[in-house]
Amino acid sequence: MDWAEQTNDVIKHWTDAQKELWSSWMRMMPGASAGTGGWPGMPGMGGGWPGMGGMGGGWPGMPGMGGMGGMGGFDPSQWLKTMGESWAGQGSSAQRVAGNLVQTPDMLVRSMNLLMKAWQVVAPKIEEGKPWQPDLQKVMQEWQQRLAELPERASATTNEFTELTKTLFEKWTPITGPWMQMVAQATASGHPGAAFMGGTAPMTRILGFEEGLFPMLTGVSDLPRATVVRQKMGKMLEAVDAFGDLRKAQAAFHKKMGEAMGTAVERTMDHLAKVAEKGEPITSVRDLIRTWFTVADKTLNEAFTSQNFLETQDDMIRALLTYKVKQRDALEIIYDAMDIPTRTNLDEAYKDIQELKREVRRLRRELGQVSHGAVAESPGKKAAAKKVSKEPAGKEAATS
Amino acid sequence: MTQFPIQIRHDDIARELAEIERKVAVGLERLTDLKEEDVDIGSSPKDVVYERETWKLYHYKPMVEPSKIHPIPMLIVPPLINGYEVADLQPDRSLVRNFLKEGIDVYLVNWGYPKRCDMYLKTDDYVCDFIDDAVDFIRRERDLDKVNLFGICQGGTMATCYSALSPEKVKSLVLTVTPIDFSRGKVEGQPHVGLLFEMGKTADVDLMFEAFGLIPADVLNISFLMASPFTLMFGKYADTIDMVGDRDAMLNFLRMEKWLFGGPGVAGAVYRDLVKKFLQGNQLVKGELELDGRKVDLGNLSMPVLNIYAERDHLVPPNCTIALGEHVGNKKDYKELPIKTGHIGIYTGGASQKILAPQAAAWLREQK
Repeated sequence: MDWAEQTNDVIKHWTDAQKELWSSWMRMMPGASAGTGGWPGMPGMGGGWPGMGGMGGGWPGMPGMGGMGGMGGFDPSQWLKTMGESWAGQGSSAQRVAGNLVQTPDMLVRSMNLLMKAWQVVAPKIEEGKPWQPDLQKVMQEWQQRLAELPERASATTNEFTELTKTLFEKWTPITGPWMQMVAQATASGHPGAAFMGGTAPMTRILGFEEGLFPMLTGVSDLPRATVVRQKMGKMLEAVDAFGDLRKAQAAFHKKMGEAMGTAVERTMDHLAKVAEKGEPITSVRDLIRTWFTVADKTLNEAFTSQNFLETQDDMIRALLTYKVKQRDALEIIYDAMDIPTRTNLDEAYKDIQELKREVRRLRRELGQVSHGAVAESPGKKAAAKKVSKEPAGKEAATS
Repeated sequence: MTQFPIQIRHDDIARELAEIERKVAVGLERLTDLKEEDVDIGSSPKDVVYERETWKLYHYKPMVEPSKIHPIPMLIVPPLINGYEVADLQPDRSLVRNFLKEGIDVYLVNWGYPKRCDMYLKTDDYVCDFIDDAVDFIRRERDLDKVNLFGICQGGTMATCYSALSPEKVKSLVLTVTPIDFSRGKVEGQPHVGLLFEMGKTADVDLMFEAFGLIPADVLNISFLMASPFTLMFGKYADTIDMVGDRDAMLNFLRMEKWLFGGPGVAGAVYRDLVKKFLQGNQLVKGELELDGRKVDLGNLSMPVLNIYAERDHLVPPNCTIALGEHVGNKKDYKELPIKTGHIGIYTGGASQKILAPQAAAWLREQK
């Protein structure tokens, strides 16, 4: 058999084994959802698996590797991910590790699929002793392109303002939810900033009145009240802009990560070519995955320290942090209006308290020096009216 | 003649995946049986002898008869990033216990879990107030002029600053994997070595402070994981499935996980200091660092210093640590001890248990 045939053979065996793996996991599910078995201690299992109805999405396998007959719309990868996250979210160390453990098969499958797809492209060329890198790079570029487009695509299908208000709802629903919902509705068909003037149409009307029908209102925008509204509007717009900037920065970061991952795949293929030359074949899935992890980590390390990557990463982190700050600024408008202390107010109070503590420390030190001489010369006489307790700490430490 | 490099047969794949599935199922069952209290860390017997704001001072129960206890107590200063439990992870891998067995009288500062309201705590507060307060407490309690200091990683950097500012209170200084010269992190051909320092050089930590206030532990953990993302985020757990049948091995693994992912957040102001003043500015070795209005002069380190480093340390590369030798005031009493291990392994690794505490204790006993 030539290498293309051998590769197809491995892929076929791999696909069959995957089917069996997922089928086996699925067999555990009916019992679990009926509350009669399944995974022990899995949160939420007693009353049926949450979200199963809407899982859909199809089998995430690689093209050309055959479908997963009998799976219907079930996505085992998504199922494992949800299951793992649900478990990990329970809090204890064991549950967190269990969450990671349960996602191990999915991680192995994803890694193998990626490697097999790459190997399928390069194997015939390697066997013939021809350059294989251009073919692989073409595939990797397509993959990188899709990776880089992820945030943009999400952005294209999501109104930015809706996304922003959604994040605000998630955090602040009890107080700001209704208010933000009103704003979101008002902005549905116009520029978000206009909503703060009562929506696009009313604002246009007001401006029209001002200019044409009510000349006495000319200059109304210079009134202090209007200025305040403009400032508020400005803060909200800054948050929206920051969100847009974040999307762009994330896209750039994903592109760089995609390039690094592409290089890692290429190096892994190169490693396999050398393995072929040495005649020391890889004989297990886990050995192949270990090889991939080792090469990928080394490649990513190199990428992470390159100037170009660091700049892109810094841009992305900066955009993320800026968005967080601007989002808070926008939110504080509402709190201010409701006479509720804001994060900024509290932080200022914390700062004052900390500075007062330092002042007390300085005064205490000066007082000690005046009344007792240098502390260092008489440690036993240092004035320190601070809490001293004597209690066993073993249990407390064990649970901290 | 080349050979097809992926020789994985159909029945081998099926068998391997079935085995993985079986082990995962067993692992889940075993993990479900474990309670949080089974995964005990920091469990060596101790008293809380003093507490203030975010932190507590522990005094550990002796493990030798009183006549064998060294007369000068030792204060362990852990780092602000990750919890103090690295010094006492489990009974058979415990720096604290090993020192107690050597007759060293051990105190330790548990920095605790700062909250948002502590976001303005600076390096000045930790070094000139908190460490000083802990040292003074021990001096008062024991009626001593000086104590020994033992620094862990960034806790060692703080202990170094304190010793330079208050040399009259420090008998001897022991440092472990302690960053001193942050410009010496990079090693050609080893990109994972000093990766954190490289990444931190351009970090906008002012913005980070503004956005977070208290830097979340998860943010700090991510930067540690970046050194080996695939291995640490996936490979480690894939390997775990081979230990699911061994309860003790699983508990050991869980203890490390608990310590790694259960750590505290860091006050934003002190984190900003660490990045701007120490990492980006390298102010400590340049002699530009000021704490509480006083210049930190490493030339003031007149006490004996034992500087211990891990030869395979990728987080704090050895060159960063041993640079201290060029700056100490008392070069005659400066000594280095390399250990063939990594940054965490120096405290928790099996081999290190027989080297770190025994040799540090022997050195402490030698100091007059």
